[in-house]
Amino acid sequence: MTRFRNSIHAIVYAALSLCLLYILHLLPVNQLFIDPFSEAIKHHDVMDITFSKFRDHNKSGLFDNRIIIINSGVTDRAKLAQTIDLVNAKGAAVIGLDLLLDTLYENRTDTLLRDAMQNASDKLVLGYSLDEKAHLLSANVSSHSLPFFRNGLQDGYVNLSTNDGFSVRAFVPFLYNKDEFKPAFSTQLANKLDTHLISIIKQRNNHSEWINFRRVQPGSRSMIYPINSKKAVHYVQMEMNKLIADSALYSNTYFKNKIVLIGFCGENENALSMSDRYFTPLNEQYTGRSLPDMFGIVIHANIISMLLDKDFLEEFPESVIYLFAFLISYINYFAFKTIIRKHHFMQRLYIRLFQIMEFVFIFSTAIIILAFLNWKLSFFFIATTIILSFELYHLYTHKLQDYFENWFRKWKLIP
Amino acid sequence: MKNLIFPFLFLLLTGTVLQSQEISVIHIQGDAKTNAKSEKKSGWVEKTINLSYGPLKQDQKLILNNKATVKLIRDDGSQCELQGPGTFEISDLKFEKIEEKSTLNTFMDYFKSFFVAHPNSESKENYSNSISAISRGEMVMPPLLSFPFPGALPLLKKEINFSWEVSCDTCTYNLIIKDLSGKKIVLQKETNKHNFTLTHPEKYFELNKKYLWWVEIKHSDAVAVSQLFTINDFNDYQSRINEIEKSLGNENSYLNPVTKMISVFSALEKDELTNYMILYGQEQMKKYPKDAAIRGIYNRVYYDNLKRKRI
Repeated sequence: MTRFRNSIHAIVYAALSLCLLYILHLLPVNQLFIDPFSEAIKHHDVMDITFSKFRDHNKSGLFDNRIIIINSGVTDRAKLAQTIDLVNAKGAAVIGLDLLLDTLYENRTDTLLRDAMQNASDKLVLGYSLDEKAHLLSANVSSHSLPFFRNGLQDGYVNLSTNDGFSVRAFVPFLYNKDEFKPAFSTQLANKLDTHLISIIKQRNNHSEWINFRRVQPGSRSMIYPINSKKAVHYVQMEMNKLIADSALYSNTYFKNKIVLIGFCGENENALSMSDRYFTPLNEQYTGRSLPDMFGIVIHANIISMLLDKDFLEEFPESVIYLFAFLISYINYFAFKTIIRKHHFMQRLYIRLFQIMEFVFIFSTAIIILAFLNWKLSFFFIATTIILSFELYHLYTHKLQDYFENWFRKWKLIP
Repeated sequence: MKNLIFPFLFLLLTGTVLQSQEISVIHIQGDAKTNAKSEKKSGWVEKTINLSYGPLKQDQKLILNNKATVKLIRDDGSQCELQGPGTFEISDLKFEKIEEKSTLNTFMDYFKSFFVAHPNSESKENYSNSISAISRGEMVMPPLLSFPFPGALPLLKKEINFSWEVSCDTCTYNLIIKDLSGKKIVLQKETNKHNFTLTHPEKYFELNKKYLWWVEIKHSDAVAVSQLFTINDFNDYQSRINEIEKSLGNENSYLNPVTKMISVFSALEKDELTNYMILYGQEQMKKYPKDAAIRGIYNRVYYDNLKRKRI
């Protein structure tokens, strides 16, 4: 009978804890009472530690020979025109231009570039950016190349999803309704190689997708901590100047059926530039101050690799997270009760140890299922449940248990 | 038959079946070269060329200078990293499969990292001189000469405009023109612009002489690839144009300016007189300033020549 009584109290405790935590979750301002903790972890995600520390970046098979990145450096339109001509002539399947051509210098190089772009019009995709409502179809174009260059060319928006303005973890594959369809830059490029891709993403029915980052920033200057200290090479990254100078050395099949991305990866191969560079979950320094670790063009390359491999990250629905939190509270009620009964004088020490072990177990589980099974478990809510569970247990047993006990007796749930 | 079974079984069991896998270059850092064979009249000649990304042959070798690094990959994912200086035969290279850490080891390493002391930022003793606050500055690309083109250039009466393309807007340029036979500097001029107009060119140039010209960027190693031009008499230019126009007039007196321009360009192109074409085009544009077709043809001819020079 006592076990039944305790079970009912455990359910009520778990339900009340869940309600309280849910309210805290919905009202972020109320989390300030655990300020140091929330401040420290609010910009972090379990992806950060999992991808940077628990995925082996030197694993064989990660090198992606479907994508070639060409660093445009400081944009020289004549060289850009020459590169597009060269790559087009050597049979590239798709050419992605992650550069804005929004100024007309009214000189001959403008025309040279326009001609090169028009010659490659069937395989060239231009990037453009949407305004701050980038997640909506009604978003306006914020910046785009001039019509002089983009006339008749395909394009895609380059916006990436972030919660703080500099950490990239997700992207919106496309925006659409019955009449209009706006694909992202990377979706547009990948779709040229795999035409079933858009219907596959549509079937997933997710507005945005987590980016399954697997491949680190290439380039000799980036082979440092915290960017790519293990010196892994996952994409070929060429310098535009060297490619033009050595163009005769490349066979006619080298670019054949490849996705060629042209964009900025530093002013030259020796420059550690911070322009168009962002934090990703692959940053080896995942807490505190760090250097941004990946250029925008390499983030697009990672998205394209993910799309072509159908290597999507799945996410546990919120209902499952709440169910987890409920179960943790339910188990903790019995665990705390047992510890207090058996170790009355050392109860706090044992309870804190139990909470730490519980935290490590859940955290390890979240990491393993994300790193190896591609399933993402949102950890923040569960972590808060574990941390506050003993305080809430105290509140329940000292202030609310008697009140509920009387109710249960009244309803004849317990004798 | 028995003699063949044992070697076959041995190969099968040990897994050492000989097979050649494609080797590709996936990372180049610094000055790396390779050898290549090209066919000449005297037969096959071996020469050293820059190393490029992509497949390598077993009989090739890599020549890496100091601080150069090259990474190679084989079809099975095994990699080989080479560091210069040195010469490496592809057939002798050892490729290694990168050891993959087990999940348990990864967790253990992470657990161990909890016990690594983090230096306290409040104590000066924990600070080391690990930041080098210095820069090499930005590299400037060499200028590309855009006029005059290589070949014959008529000695214009008023001025000749020398122009070049460059990505730097704040640089100072040094234009140098040298007499090829006498090897004397004919003109040296500093300017902030991307062009220089030389007035009274007859003071500097002699007829039928070859001149070399190039542009340097001041305080930089960036130098344009030099070009040759030969000074011709202006009358030669005028007589050629008159001759072509006259021949066209006799055949088709109703030719409109656009058709006439195309025909003149075509005749000049046969004689490889690129500068004559550009000058004639500029004259026509002055004559018909509102004619978009003339401007379009001129631009096309100019850009095509520029493009041909670059590719």
